[in-house]
Amino acid sequence: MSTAVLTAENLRCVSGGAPVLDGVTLALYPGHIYGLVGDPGSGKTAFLRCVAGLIPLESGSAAINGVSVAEAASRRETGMLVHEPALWNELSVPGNLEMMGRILGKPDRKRMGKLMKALEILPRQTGRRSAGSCPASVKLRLGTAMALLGSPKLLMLDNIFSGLDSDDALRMTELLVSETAEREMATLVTSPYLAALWPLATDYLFLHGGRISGKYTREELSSRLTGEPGPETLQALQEALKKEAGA
Amino acid sequence: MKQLMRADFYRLFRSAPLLIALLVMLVGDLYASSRVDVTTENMYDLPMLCTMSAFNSYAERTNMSLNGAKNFFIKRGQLESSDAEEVTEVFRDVMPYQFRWVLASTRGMLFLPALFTAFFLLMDRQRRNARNALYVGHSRSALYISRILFLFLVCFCVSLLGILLLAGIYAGAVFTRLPALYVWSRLLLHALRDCALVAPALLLGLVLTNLFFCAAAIAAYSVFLRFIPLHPLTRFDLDIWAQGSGYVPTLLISLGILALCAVLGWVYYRSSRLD
Repeated sequence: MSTAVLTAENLRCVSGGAPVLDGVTLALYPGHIYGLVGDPGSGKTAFLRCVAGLIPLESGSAAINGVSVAEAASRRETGMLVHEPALWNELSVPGNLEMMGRILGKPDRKRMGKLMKALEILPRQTGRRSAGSCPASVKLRLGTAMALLGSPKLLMLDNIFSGLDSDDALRMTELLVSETAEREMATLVTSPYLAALWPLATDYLFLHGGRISGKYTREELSSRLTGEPGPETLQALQEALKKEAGA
Repeated sequence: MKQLMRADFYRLFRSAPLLIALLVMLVGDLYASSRVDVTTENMYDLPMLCTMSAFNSYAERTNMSLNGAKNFFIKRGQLESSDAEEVTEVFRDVMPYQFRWVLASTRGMLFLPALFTAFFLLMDRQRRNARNALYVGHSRSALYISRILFLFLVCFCVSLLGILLLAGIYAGAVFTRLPALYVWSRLLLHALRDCALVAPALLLGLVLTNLFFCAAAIAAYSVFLRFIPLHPLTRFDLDIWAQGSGYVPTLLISLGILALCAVLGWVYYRSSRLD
């Protein structure tokens, strides 16, 4: 197996005086799409914030390509969307991508065009309005395009499927699958629902109370399904796994 | 860091609220320049004569002699001595004082750059835009330095433009009659001094989260600058434009205030939540 893009070892993070992650150990490999599943407050966003350097490590370690996440340089090849897209509301959709391109130091207009087309956020589709006045689903797609713009080696997206309709979710899934494969990227997507990530992820991590309560491949989970994968069966499986882990 | 600054300048010219704020600053400059209360009727009653041509026509009308011209300014305390050999040359030695007087009137314009600084920082924080730079490997310190450099450049350029307008309108002869190095070094110092006076707004913009309170605090600070004559930097107005003296102390005090505000801002920014 190739070298892990992101490794975390006994990671513990504290926010607001309370531990939000406790003893998290995991490794993300290129070419895989990981689904991080957990109830609200389980520590999914906290994990992303910790990797993003927004909250400091209390103990343990986390590194991107061997460089500790405590150093900003570790994130040179990452793309993230944590909690909600941090858009420049007064700029247009292409304006936001241009800003992100400039921050990356390489405004690649061809790639901007490709991402806008794939996620259907071209100016003729969103109108000439500012990003702040766009619907939530457009903001989410724009935030994802901004995260993908720099062709990262590690992509982390927080709860992106919660505000998308089925067509948008399908387009997003197709894009993430093709980008992960083409660019040998490690992708992590979080959601409170296993069902939301089922069409996308190849590997699953379950988080409860700031701890990893289970790690499974798609095949392992498929073998435990009691019927065809659908919202009900996947929800039942998620509940069963939670009980097994003593959560 | 260069990338972050480039992005900020892109945003400045593409974002309607920031562009409007910039235009308001520029219009404010023009307005403040037009507010200098000098007319051909009252210019002889003012502490300083305002234009060389006005003085020349006054000297011609009153048949002023060379010594008479020198005494005219010496009596007013605007000239200690002059080696001018013609009446029209006497005004050259008065220019630094006249220049000082005209430029001292720019202090009222500082409110707008200060408000712009606070507005920019507040917008950035409310929308959590700083995260985008952190996600792709920029450090918090690079982000902070790029912010203050960007704000400094904007405020410096706006201030310099205002000073040039004032100098051009009311003391244009200094550009041709005084040494260029002297004039430009003083103009740049004046703009730097204005930035130093604006610098506390950086701290207000970082600490206060509400634009209304922030604007009120900046307004109070502007009033303080306007009406408290013993403010250490405003005292140096008396010396900046005098030949030889005042330049270095003002430069050092301005740089000191800028550095102090930048360091205090960093102390706050380094531990503040950006998400």
